[in-house]
Amino acid sequence: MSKEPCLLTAPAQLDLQQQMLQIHADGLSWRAVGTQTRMQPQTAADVFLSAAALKQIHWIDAEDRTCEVDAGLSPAALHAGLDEYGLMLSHSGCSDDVGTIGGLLNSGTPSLLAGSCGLPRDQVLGATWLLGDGRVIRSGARVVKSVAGYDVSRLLLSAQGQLAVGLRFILRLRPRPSNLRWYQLPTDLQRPPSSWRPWADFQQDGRRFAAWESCDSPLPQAQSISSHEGDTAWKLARKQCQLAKHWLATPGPWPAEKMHAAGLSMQQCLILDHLAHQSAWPQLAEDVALPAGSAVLPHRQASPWLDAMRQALLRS
Amino acid sequence: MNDFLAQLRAVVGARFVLTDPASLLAYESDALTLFRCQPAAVVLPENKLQVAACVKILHQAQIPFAARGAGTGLSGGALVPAGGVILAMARMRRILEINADGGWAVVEPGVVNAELGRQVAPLGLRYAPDPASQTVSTLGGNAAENSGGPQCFLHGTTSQHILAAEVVLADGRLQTWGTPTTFSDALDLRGFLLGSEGTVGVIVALTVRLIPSPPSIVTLMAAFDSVATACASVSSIVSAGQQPVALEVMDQKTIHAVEASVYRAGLPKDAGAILIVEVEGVAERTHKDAAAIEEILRQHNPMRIEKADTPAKRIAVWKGRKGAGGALGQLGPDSFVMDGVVPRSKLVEIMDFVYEIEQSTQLNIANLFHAGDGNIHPHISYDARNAEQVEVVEDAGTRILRKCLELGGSITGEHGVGLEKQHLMAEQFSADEIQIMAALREVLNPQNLLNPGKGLPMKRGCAEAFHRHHRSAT
Ligand SMILES: Cc1cc2nc3c(=O)[nH]c(=O)nc-3n(C[C@H](O)[C@H](O)[C@H](O)COP(=O)(O)OP(=O)(O)OC[C@H]3O[C@@H](n4cnc5c(N)ncnc54)[C@H](O)[C@@H]3O)c2cc1C
Repeated sequence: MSKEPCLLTAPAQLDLQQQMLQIHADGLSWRAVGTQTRMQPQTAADVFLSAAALKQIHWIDAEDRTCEVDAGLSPAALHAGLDEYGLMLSHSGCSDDVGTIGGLLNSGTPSLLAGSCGLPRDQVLGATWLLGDGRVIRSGARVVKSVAGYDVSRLLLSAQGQLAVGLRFILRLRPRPSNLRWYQLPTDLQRPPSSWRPWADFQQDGRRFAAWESCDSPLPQAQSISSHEGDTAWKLARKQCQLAKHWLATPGPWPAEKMHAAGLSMQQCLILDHLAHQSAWPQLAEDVALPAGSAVLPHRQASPWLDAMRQALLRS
Repeated sequence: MNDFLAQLRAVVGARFVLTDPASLLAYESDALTLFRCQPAAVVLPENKLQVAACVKILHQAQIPFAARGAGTGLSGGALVPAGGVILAMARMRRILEINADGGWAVVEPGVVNAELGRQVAPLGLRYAPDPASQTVSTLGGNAAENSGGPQCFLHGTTSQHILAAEVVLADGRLQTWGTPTTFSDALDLRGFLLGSEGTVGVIVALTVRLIPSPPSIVTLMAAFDSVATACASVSSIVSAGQQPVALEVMDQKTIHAVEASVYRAGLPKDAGAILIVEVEGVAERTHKDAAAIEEILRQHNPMRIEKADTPAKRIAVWKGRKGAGGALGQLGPDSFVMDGVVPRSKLVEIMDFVYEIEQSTQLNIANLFHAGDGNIHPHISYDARNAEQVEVVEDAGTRILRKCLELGGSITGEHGVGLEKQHLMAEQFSADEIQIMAALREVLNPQNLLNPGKGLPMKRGCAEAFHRHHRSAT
């Protein structure tokens, strides 16, 4: 296998497994990526391995509000599949047709809905992983609540592709909002009051917006800008939330060859570099910024535990 | 032996190292009395530095140890093997900081769940996870078990409400995992700690999420002729896209036990089962949602529907629900409280199976469960002194949990594996998956001194050493 950094992907789990076995046998270093729209390129690796070509929705259990999907599915494809059930993944970039669910969950990307629903990563109930020695394991369960064994899913997800390749995820879903009212909030609102719990919350062009599900004005100063029921509410929510994808704008849909050499484009490096500094948020987020008070720590804090964990996962 | 005890006394003071058999008796088991083992000593540190110093001494002397909160665990988690030491968190009960604007608080691990709720309520805030044991159980124990509760249907279990944890590792080092104010992208050791049943670190402080108290709450109680109808109505509510906070079912045996106890709540004794549904939010929303839910309930021909529309009525309903475990405890000398999960759509099937088991074994089984989460808690009353009956009880438990697995579920939703369910781990996970979990644990707890033998299968027969009847492994 070549020593040049390269990107490998395959349309079937078994092929990825074969590739990993080869990487392992050749003693190469690797890192899992999605379509690299969100990944931070701080780790050098001989091989970038991607599950982006696995794109199936395996099942949707509408009654249990759960589903199992491949890591390579785009958020938009997932939501297209969920539409007929009136369900959604708690993530604001649900119209994103670039990027992958695997990348979204691994990157820990916060969402405009973080205040009310937690991170997209918090919705993971179980997962299937490809380990560095070619073994495939499952973590978690398919039910909404399970404390059997350790929470391996969270640990592996937070390693952002440095411990295992995520192949499939079992996700907790929630009903789409049936009605939403959007408000523009006073500009001098520095800190949210303690009763703050909107469905979505973001800033745009220096103004602050929030949406609540069916309620009166949450603050006397707030100005109602729109109120929608049913599908219209949902469409508007999606449109508004779609702005979120500009945080991490991507150079385009998945062009495998383009990433071939270093696995990253200049443009991405530039964006990711901006992300390295919290203070860069306002410039970066031309359209949308995270709610005041929240921030992302984009530079991975070197974890003294990572190498030990990687070794542990290889030991037989 | 005396050497390390003398060192522990030097750290916490002689009064706070218990070694007399009478004092140790209270620490020989948790709320699952089938497993027991008296520790060599119980140490009560006053702060995190004392915990770290004690752990260093125990590490050096190679003595197994475990942290203990209130001892309400239901899987045999807070027990140490003979010669081991318990670090009891009873003196670490301070709420260190409440940041109302930021929506978080820093607490010591011995703070009782409901006490935090009481302290933050005047600020218009609450801590959402509400295990039925919340008036006694500690936040450290809740975090170690990743406890659930009725409200977790909407708000998620404990792990979604712990932003950061300060821990003492097995060798005495102090570390902080997680952060209260940012979306950190660090390796999520906080997530690995939560639900690790005390085997990854001793929690010495927690930063917990506080959320606004809802301005309006509506609680409905529907009485049905059977558990099956109550479960079917749960499915209808969820399928209709409703998002109540809680969906709790109690069967007739449980209702009668509650009504015969100090937790009496005026529950309908003629009902085969009751379903408690609670919705919260702004008044406009709760009333609309409650009306829609009532409409759905009516389609299942309830015997009646009552609205707990005053705070007093609501408190009474929840007193009955949360006191039900205690009330059922009066039905026999001992209780075996099970904890299995099935996909919500399989609730009727699993409950039919539980009743089949009840019929075939003639055991006294009552049921109360978090129906919204598909999390069942068959409660078996029995006499643990009767070895034969114990065997029937344990066999019934195993069969019910196997059925949960067969239906696509899990062997535990909130009580943990502890000593109790180790024999079933290999049926939920593959050998590789268990080995991976053990290897990851070993990174943080390399000598397995910290709460040894919990959560993952031990060598054959080791869990039996804790068993009340000391049966040899077969
Ligand atoms: C009547 C009754 C009702 C219950 N209802 C519920 C319910 O609704 N939902 C639910 O999830 N559970 C329930 N439980 C189970 C139990 O209350 C929970 O598991 C609870 O979280 C245990 O807390 P504790 O403080 O009693 O912990 P303990 O029993 O003392 O310990 C439990 C585990 O946590 C570990 N631990 C404790 N403190 C620490 C620490 N500081 N650092 C590291 N590890 C620690 C121990 O080593 C042990 O493994 C119920 C129990 C009873 C008796």
